[in-house]
Amino acid sequence: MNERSPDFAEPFVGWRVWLLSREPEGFRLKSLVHKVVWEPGHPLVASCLRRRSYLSWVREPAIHGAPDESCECGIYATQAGMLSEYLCLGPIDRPLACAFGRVSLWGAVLECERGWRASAAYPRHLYLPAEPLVRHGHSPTGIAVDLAEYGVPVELVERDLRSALPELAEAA
Amino acid sequence: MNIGKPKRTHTVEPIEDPVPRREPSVPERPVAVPAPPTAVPAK
Repeated sequence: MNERSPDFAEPFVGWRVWLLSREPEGFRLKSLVHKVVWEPGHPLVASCLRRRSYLSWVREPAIHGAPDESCECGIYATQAGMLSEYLCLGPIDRPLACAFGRVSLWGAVLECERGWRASAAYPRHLYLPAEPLVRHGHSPTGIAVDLAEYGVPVELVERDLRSALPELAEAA
Repeated sequence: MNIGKPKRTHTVEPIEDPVPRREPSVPERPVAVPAPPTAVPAK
């Protein structure tokens, strides 16, 4: 028998940040770097989207599965303690507001020093910071209704994120 | 997202699907209009 038995029978759970994207069907989650929309009801399956320059393409023509240790591909998640760095530093204050939350990771999961890169993922629990959404003219409740399409809990966070995040992480 | 250097790869096959299944919506059947009673011949 050549098939390797799995190491784990439950998904890994990490934290991540998403952009909120207004799609024809309503607001959806979108990845920060590659702008991939996460479809409700379907796992996001990774493929290597790394951009290569012409020369590196010539040097590295092989297509590989994601995640690959020698690449930077895969669906990213980090530990709760690391998330505040991303929430406070930037994306949450951009005009296109962000959501954050827990994500299930499975398939091939590459464990890294401060997080994971996975081949498959789906949101597990979503949090919407209300204040930045209101500041940018969005209705937090309306967006929460749209995100309910993912079939996972969606919570509005009214408090300051710096103080709320540790408590949310501990309660998870 | 800087998550550091890779350490090791795990294979993860969840027993339960991490994607929530939606409850299938039950299509509403049109209410059947009962047929008018037919006269049964008396025995």
